[in-house]
Amino acid sequence: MKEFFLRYQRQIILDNFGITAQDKLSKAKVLVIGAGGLGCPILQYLVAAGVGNIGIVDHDTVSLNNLQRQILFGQQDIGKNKSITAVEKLKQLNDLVSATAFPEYCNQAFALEQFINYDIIVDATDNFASRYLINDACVLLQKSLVFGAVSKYEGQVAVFNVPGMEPMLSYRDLFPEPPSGDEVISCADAGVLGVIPGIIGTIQATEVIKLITGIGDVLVNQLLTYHALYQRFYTVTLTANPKALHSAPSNVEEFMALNYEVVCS
Amino acid sequence: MDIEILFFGQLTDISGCPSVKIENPGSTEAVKEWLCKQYPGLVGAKFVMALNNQLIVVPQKITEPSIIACMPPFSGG
Repeated sequence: MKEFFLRYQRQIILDNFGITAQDKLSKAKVLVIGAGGLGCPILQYLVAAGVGNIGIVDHDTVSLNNLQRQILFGQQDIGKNKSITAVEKLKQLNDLVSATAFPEYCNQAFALEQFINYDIIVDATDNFASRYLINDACVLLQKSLVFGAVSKYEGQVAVFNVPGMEPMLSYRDLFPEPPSGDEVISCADAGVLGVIPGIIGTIQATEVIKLITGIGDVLVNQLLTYHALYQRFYTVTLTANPKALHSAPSNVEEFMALNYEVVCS
Repeated sequence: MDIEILFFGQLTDISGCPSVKIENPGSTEAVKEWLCKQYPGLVGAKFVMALNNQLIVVPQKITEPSIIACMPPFSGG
């Protein structure tokens, strides 16, 4: 108990935080999908802050060109699975936290089986197929979704589908249909400044902590955009989009039948 | 009366600038028409528009000095 107070002392003494918020963090269950540029800072800050139960999903292995922004990993980790390696590093940071590795791809079956075990789902993936799949699963299972994405010198953060905060909007209210292959350039093709996923991931972690503890105003149904070259933040309030109803799967059967890889390619 | 149009993400590569000021054409649909005429690269690009920080899902009239944000989806992580 003494270690608990000492470890979290700097945030426990905060106004509106205290032991109450720290206890909420300790009891929270958060699933982070993607242990890459966004996932690394999200995981580090959530584990450091004392979020009690964290799941990490990533089928991919660490490669040399990841190290420019995926700050949990070192040169000795190249070739190792990201979720398993992340759990090893995070245990060194805080052994009061239970971290579970899922070294697999987040497909529909995984989403339906695992999302129900967590309070908050964090989208830290790097492709539209995963993003639409995760979004649709969160809508079907009524799970809060903390979304983050980056491109070159910019990033986006939004919080969707929070139970009890009507209207429960989703990513499809923003972009009802995934873009086709040539409409958007991927990071692999366009590049990204290493600090951008650091900034965006840290904002995502902040919103997760606020959602759990109930402090401040969460970015629910809002899209925050950040541009590093002009140091500009821009927030847009979202609204229910009638097209979202037509494009999203309305039940588990429709969800399982969707081929996200094809729809998003 | 002028309106300001902000570009985000790869739309900036198409417009060549982060923002532009134009005479108010009267509606968000008219803004989109102007944009596609001025920057033909935008015709095939996927993006949404926000009028004064409010996402637009149906066309809106523009009756006061306003800021229009044009925002594409980002996939990177």
